[in-house]
Amino acid sequence: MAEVELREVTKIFGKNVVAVDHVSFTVHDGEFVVILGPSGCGKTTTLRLIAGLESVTSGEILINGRVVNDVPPKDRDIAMVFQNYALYPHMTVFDNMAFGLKMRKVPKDEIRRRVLEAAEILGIQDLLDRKPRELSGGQRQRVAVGRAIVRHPQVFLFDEPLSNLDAKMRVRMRAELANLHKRIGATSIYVTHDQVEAMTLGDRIVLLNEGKVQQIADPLTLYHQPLNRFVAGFIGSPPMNFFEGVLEEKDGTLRFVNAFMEVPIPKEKQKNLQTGMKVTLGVRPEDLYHAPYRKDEEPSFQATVEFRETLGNEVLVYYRRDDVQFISRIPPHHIPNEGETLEVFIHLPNIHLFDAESGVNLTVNL
Amino acid sequence: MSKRLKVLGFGLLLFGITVYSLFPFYWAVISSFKPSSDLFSTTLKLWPIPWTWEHYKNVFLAANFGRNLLNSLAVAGGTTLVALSLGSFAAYALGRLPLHGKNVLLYLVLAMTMFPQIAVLSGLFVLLRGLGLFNTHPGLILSYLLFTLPFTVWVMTQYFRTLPRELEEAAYVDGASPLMAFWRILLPLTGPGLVTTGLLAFIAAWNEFLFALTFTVGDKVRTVPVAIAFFGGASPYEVPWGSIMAASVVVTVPLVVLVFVFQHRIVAGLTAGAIKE
Repeated sequence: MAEVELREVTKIFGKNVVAVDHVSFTVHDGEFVVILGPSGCGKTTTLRLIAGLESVTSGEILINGRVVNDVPPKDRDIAMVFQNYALYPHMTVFDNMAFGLKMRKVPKDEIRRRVLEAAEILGIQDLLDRKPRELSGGQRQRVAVGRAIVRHPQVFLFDEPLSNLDAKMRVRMRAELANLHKRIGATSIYVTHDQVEAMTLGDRIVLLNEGKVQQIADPLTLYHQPLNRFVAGFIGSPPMNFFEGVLEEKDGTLRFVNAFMEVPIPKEKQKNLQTGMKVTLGVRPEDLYHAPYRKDEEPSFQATVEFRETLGNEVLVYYRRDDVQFISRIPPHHIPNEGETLEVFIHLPNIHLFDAESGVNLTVNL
Repeated sequence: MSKRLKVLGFGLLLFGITVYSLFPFYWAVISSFKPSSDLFSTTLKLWPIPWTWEHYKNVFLAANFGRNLLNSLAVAGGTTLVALSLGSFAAYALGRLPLHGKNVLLYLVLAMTMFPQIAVLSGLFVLLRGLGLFNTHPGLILSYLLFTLPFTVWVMTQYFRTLPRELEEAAYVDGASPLMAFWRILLPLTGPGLVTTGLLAFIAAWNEFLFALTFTVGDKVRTVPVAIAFFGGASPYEVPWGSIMAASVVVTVPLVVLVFVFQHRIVAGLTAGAIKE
């Protein structure tokens, strides 16, 4: 097993397309780290750099303390599961899984033993004589994973392995991957744009945007203490609501003020705040609700219900006030009517305030 | 109504094309079985009655036709092997490696096929004599690469281009060297391309006449098309049509068999299941 470290890794394609921009992070031995970000953020490129399928422009990649910048992929002792599986179409499932071992000149009976072992873990013993084209998507995915685990590599790399599966299969494979990691405990790096996958699988998440690291943290920290507005808006579905405004002192308390809101800032969040600052108020949908769900004395403002999405266990209410649209997530017991104008309350302990210019969260790490 | 007319018209067209292209071969086959006297009869006979093996006997007993057949086999087979092995290496490089000036190279290769055979004949003659390859099998093979290698490179390049990049990368991550990835993963997947281009190269070399005529002397190396042209009759005034037809049938049959054998291999979708489209 192994530790992977990236030090100020930069990848520039052509003359000036910066795909990965001074990215640094460490994946500890046995850890499952997810690289998350919107498409085009450089996450797949980062993974390919670790695999050795692309060469770094500057910076260092270390596996077990050894700089591997100039080591070809075959000598890095990594295994990769590709987005489109990349199974060898002319080989049986058995041969697909055995190929890496054959290349490493593992004895025949040892190959057989390891392939059977991996096939059993993944429940594909019956498919060993089939060709990839005779398999369903989920089965192909298992074979691709099997091809990786028979090798007992130092590091597993996953490049959006579930994105080609249908929704139901994706949930199932997600759970299977989580189980597999528990069982094998191998160092894994997993790339996805799906935050649910990231939150459920990752010990830690590296959130990338435009080639830069936005935040590295465990899922809950990422959700509750986003370092900037991008992280706050990317993590969580539906996303966090944002309101633009300024900070003003009124009646001895610091308040967030705009055309229709006046929100007193709790004392413990004020450390980095000053009167007159232009800020963005961030409130998660579950921290906005109408009267029946009000918790205690809370600031409120008027807004009109545009439409609702009833999801069964919860309801998403889309409000509008002036030009600002926002979402409230509530239990399904008291559903407001469309077109109704209501008092909307804000749960103060969970609000965030971001610098309007830089997007930095001013209310974390106090 | 108009749809039925269309179908009928299309059927007629197909029938016309089939007759047009197959009738000469049919005529050769029945002529090879007709007794010599019938060959010059003016009544149209579409069926060889009475029929005879006589021409086939003549072909194999009289001349060195067996030797010529073996020569053809050696030259066409050798050409195919060399064209495929050199061609697929070149195609791998042109189709998959990040090379500068790839397209210039490809068009240069294509440009070689522009020159008519007759234009390069004298140059090739000097070259082969200089190399000591005149009137040898390798000499003929070398000259045949002139027209088989370019299209092998072109067709195989297209095949290599269509293979998903991830397959090669998966092989690298699995521990394969570039040569191994080429040999074990990519080349098997270009199978249909290898079969198709191999077949075309074989046919082209098998049928070639001008180079074979110029670069061979006597029956030691001479190939079938030239040998047939040299068939002589019993007198200066007799063209031995029967033997010529019999020999033509004999050389055509292997090609037809080859195409029938390999048509199952020329299947699309060999890469099905590799990746999800």
